[in-house]
Amino acid sequence: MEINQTHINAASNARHIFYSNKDLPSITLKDFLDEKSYSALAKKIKSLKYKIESFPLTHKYAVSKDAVIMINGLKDYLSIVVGAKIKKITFSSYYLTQGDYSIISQDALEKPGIDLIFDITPDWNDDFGGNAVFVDGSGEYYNINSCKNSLTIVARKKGIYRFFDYVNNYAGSKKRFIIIANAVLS
Amino acid sequence: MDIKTALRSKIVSSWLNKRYLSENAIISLKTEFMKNKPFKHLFVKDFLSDKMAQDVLFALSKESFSNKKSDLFKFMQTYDLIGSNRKILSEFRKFLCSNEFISIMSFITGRNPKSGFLDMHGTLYQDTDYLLCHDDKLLGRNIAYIFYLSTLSKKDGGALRLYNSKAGKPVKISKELSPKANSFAFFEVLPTSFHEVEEVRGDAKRITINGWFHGN
Repeated sequence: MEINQTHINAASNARHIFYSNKDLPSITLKDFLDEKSYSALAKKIKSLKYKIESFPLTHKYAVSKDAVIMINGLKDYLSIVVGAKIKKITFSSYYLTQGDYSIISQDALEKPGIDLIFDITPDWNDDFGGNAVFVDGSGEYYNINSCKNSLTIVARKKGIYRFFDYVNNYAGSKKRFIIIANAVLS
Repeated sequence: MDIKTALRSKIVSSWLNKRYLSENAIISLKTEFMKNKPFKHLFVKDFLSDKMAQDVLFALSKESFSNKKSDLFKFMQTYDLIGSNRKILSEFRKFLCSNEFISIMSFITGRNPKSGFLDMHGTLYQDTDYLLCHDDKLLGRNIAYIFYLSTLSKKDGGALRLYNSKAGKPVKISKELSPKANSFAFFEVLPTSFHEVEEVRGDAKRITINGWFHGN
């Protein structure tokens, strides 16, 4: 699968944008993959085996952990944007339907790191919920304006956590597919 | 204070619905509370007279509500109504945390809430608002209560859902209580009193005054 050439060409500029938000270094890149690659990824994601998890105090969604996703040049591209060498990227694919969510749990806080959020859902309205939301200790919320074929890169510092907001009844029978990846620095 | 004295007091007899102003009625409530599952709770219909409930609702509608949103909930809420300058809300609060009503709550629940210590907010759930599963456990909270000021049908959502639990974790929804105007629901705050408010749908408005009695 291939990253859209326009993004590769503008990687250095993306780094400036990424670090321009000091509170939560982040950037959302629309049309991240070329069309053919996006279609291939969307097809692959839908063919994965998902496990429906329902733990009312922490989350309710379907997940396919350790999904194998090969995007040519992704590590190198990320290394330029975040300004550090990327050693490894691990992917998990989620789908959320009406009534799904996650809650930040003190028992399962994620360590700081680089989060990647791939949105693989056509026809989704953010008003349905199912958005990846970041929050810091003071209660400041950072919504990710993702859309079909967007990649959001977030440097999640200490004290910043992520959750999926609740998917409401307007989603009907639709599914929101999101890949969350964690990039490990060298 | 014994139940008879509490029921004969001016404050209780002027607020509580006449149908509950007898020792037998309170004993029935206690019996029901103690046997209810998945954890002890009670849903008391016609809590006040219809007129009193309407007056409380009218006064609450004049209060300021602000948006509240987190990973756990989305709704609108007032500040603690201890600060309200609307007489009926202030009087309602005095009734709920009076020695007399606390004695009744203590008799029904077997717990020891303290008189004078009460959290009280107006809460409004509208289309897509919700409160996800949690246990209310915070230092000092003794009994959680909800006074419903609107009626919602099953299709409107907004039910109070109670979970059964295993090994200290919620397992599945065991009971659903749809809001009914002028009803007063309450339950013990325990590490296993897991509950949530179902998403409200459409034009329905789930209006409550709710909070906690405090104690050891």
